[in-house]
Amino acid sequence: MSPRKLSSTGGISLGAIALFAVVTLGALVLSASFLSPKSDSVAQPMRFSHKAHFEDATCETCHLYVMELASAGTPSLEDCVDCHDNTLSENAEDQLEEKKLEKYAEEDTEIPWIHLPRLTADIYFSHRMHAGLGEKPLECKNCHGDIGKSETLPQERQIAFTMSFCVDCHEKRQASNDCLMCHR
Amino acid sequence: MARYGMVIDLNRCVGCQSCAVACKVENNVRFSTPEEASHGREIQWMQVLPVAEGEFPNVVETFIPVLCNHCENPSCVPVCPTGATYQSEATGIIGQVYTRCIGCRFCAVACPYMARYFNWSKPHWPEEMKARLNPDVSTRTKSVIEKCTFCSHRLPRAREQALSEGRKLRDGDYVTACMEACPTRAIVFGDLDDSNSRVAVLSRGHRAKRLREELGNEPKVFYLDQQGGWDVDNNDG
Amino acid sequence: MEITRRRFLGLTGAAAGLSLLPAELAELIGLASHEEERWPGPGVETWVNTVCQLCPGGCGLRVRLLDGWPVRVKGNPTHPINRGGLCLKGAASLQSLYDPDRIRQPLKRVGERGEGKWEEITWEQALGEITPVLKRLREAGRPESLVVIRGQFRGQMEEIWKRFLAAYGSPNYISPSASCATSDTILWLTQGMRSHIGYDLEHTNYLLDFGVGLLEASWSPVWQMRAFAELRQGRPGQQVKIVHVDPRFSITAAKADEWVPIRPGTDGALALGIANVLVREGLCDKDFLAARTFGFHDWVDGAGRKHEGFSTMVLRDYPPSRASEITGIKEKRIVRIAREFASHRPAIAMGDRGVLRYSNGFYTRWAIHCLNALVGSVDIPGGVLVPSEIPFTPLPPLPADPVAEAGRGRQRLDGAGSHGAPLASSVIDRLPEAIKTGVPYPIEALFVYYANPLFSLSESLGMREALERVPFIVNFSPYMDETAQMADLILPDHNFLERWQDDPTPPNVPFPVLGIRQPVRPPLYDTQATSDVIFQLAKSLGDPVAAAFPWESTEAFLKERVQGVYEAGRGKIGAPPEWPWMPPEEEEETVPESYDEFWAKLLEQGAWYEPEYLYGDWQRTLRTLSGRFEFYSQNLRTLLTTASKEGGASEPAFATQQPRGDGAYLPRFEPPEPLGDAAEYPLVLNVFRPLALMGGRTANMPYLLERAGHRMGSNWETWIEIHPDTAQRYGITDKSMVWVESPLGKVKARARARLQPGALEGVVSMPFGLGHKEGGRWGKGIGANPNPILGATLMTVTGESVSRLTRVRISAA
Repeated sequence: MSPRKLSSTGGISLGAIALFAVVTLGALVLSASFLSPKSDSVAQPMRFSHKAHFEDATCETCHLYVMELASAGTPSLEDCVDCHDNTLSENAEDQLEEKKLEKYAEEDTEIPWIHLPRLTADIYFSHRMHAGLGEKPLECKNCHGDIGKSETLPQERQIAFTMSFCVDCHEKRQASNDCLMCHR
Repeated sequence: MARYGMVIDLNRCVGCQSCAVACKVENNVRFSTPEEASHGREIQWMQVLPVAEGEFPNVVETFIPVLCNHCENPSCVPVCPTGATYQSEATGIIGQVYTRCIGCRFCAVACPYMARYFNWSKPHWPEEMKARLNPDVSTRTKSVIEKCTFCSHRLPRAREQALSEGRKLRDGDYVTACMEACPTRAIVFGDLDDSNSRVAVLSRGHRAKRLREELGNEPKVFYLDQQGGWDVDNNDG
Repeated sequence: MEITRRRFLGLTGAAAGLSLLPAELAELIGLASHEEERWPGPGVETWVNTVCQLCPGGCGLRVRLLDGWPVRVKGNPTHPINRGGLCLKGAASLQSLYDPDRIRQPLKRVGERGEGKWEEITWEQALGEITPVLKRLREAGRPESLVVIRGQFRGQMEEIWKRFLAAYGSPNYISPSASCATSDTILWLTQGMRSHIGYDLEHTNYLLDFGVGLLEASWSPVWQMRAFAELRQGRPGQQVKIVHVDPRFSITAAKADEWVPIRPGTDGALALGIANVLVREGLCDKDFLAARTFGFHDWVDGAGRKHEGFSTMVLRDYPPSRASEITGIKEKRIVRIAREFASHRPAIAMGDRGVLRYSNGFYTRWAIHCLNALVGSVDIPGGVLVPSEIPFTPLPPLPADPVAEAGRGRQRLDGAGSHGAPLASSVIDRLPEAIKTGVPYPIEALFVYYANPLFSLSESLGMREALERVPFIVNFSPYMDETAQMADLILPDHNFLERWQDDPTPPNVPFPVLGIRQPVRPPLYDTQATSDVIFQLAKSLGDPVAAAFPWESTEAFLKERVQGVYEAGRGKIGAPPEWPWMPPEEEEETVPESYDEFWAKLLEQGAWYEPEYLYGDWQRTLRTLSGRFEFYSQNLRTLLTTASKEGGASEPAFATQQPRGDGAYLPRFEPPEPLGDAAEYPLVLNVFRPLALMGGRTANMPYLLERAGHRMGSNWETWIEIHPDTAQRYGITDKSMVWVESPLGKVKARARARLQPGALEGVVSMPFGLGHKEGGRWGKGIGANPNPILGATLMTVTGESVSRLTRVRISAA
């Protein structure tokens, strides 16, 4: 069944149900707010340029599992160090950031990236399904926009991953809009 | 399109409750406290009901694993005011969107199989366990209804796996945790619309019955009768 | 299967849970606060095979790990024991790993003993506490004063402990559950083999089961359930029947084709009554009796003395009328069961736990096994088999060491194996007395490994007082329990999912199987495998003890011993998967070319086994003096005569009651002597063990605690099962609280009454496994423990510790 309209409550049309519906609607509106990013500024532990990395790499180089798992995977410190092995770039500003990386490596602590609000835990989203499988897999930018061109980490999601964002695209591409496929 | 269903062979079921526990582990179903249990507030998506009849020494007891019947004509879906409970078109599975559930419990009252459970309190996982719950299934919080989903979180993964191997979903690719755990292979799960599937074959047999068939809910959980077998002469003992 | 909604409400107990009180409005709107729990890593999935150890069943587990963390356990489909299935304990096993109340590092007692005050110490400190004590005892020439009490163990742990004690110089390796080995003893008496008995359940046509909880707490529950379920399917053209003899309407009774309720402790009389019918009506397998048995007919020995045979004895002493009188089973029924047993061959008679519980367990078990010989079910398909031995690499001989030799040559503290308990491997009941009196010598140090005698033994034995007198107690338990609470040092073992261990053929299983338990991830806490601790202790003691343990680690030890299996070239690794509708993938069976390859494949698949059985290899399976199945046991006669001579007695030695003459060497029925006066204590207490509580180590697993009493609607509590009429007589109503009281002082157990229409009148059945006074947050204080109010006694002939048939009275609480 595709996402239900709130009016179709079946054969029972008690006042109580209407009341509950109103309460729920309100609550849904409230709850929608936690899907959209907060406006407080996000102070990341270090500068990171997707654009600079994109010159020598693809998304998959660092987001290792994007074709294989549900999660694309945040690169671990080990993944960073794999390429950044003591060689410094010419740019002094970049060097400053690279030294931060070295320090994390020396201390053997993961970089405490702050994640922007993501999908709630009750939603199943598979990068593998969207980007790795099928006849016409999506490209990363279909959902992540121009992140590859950004020089700093974004302060908010460039595209809000609301339910309608998913459902619209699924409709357009004739993918299933069955609740079961995403809600768990 | 598929129509998932289950056959439970009561002749094979030995009442060990492995299914009930495997279900809890797979679906992060909370355990109860002694107090909750005494109030009948345990959450058990699957439970094994002992049904005893007769008096000593002629007692017959059957163990019936009971779970959501994923009815074709569900009683729970039409009464849900928010659309939290739905019948999946692609699979026939009755699902529950927890974030939409307002905890009114109409569905629990409507369900003729008592298969829906209400969270009267927050789950009480200690940190050690909470951190290692199954991330494939979300945890439920206070005041929402939950119930068996036929482990539907496994379906998208099974589909992905099949797709990656360039084939269609096969019987046995997508199975429930209870079926996997059952030591006597009493539980068979699969697509009833695939006429060659094991579950479809068994559900057509003469031993297949459904619970409370008279209600017209058309449940998709079938039970194979306990077989009589030996006639015991009760007069001699 | 007419089930109304009301029935459902009653059955599920959900009526209360659904009362339509509105939840607080705030809670209703609280949905927006849906907690966001996210798995921290990418969720890379891997699977590792290992073996469960929540009971001795030996089921293969397949553990799902995400980023290296176990999140789920399923059955290993290629493990020959469980073929992918699990029992509820296996399914819940991760709760034992993530138990928040695990002991996380070595603990040293700082308060009074039993006070529960501990100081966390390092492993170095812990070993530094033990080594000097052990050294001192050896230097003083008293290594025998070190005692090990071991509980549930599997595989090589037994060898390691025994070897350590032998190398150190102590004979005192004590088990609290020795009567579990009675079936093995009977095999030795009748067939001359030291092994477990196996039953070819999958191919039998008639299963006569005396008190074996095949579907509950028994040796290998999942294997048994699988076989049971297959039996229930019958076979084309062949009816198959399962008859279950049990005082309690157990799950096994419910699922059997026929349940035969019997008075507790009288199974031997039923077996002999059936034997009488088989002999009298000529229903025996005459060829087998003639060719392969000894002592069936009367016989004359070398000295010309006449001896009475089994047939004469049963015909004279056990007519079904007498068996009926003793057991409470109608004569007609005994005759019918005997006829069915004989006419549905191959037929199996098995008996275990329940029937071994009382003083007459030895003769009872023997009588039951004789039924197999009467119908020729020995070593045939669908009969009683003896799995061949697993060809381990032999252990190197112990280094010469006069101190150790003198020490281990001393008499055991519990007197097992000597005059008075000649067939017992352990007699834990005698340990408290020996500790208290210091006779034959004082105990100086006690190691407790996976045993909890303060919970499992009758309180009348005084184990607590005895422990208070032991100068030094080390406990290896990963969880706090009653006995660990009495320790001076706790050296926590790993959880079973974190350690190396082997898991060989469980009793009852008819084919040899060897599962390998491997760590599925590094240990969560600062714990150590006890086997590794033993290796370290041996090293720290220096030669010659150290020389007995040349291995680096448990893994290395195990790998060396399993090499023998590879070199024997027998058996195979991994069973074909058993998804019936999916043909197994066509995979060429590759024979490993090197031991390393074999080992790697073993770890990957989880188990080695040998499915082919060589039938009729009588030289292997009948190794008695006569080379035949002995109804009259010459082994027993020799043993008892020798033991009595050693003990300086003129008569053969027996632990308790004293059968005399030839009658002692044939199976017989002895009524168990009850504890308690029938007038004052009119009911009999029957203690059983539900599957969820079997094998220990599950005391603090909430998924199991809430399931253990589900059948009786008693979750998180101890219940008693009684017949409604019995209940009425004592003013007890269903679901009410009761006291169960035995003559043992003022010990009372509070429990909830459950009227069970299937219960036998006059019997109170009560589960064992709950009622812990110490332990984790969930198990502690839940339910009641019946064992303290059970009497204790010794088994006739063997002298092993068993329960006494205990009378009780009940009253409303």
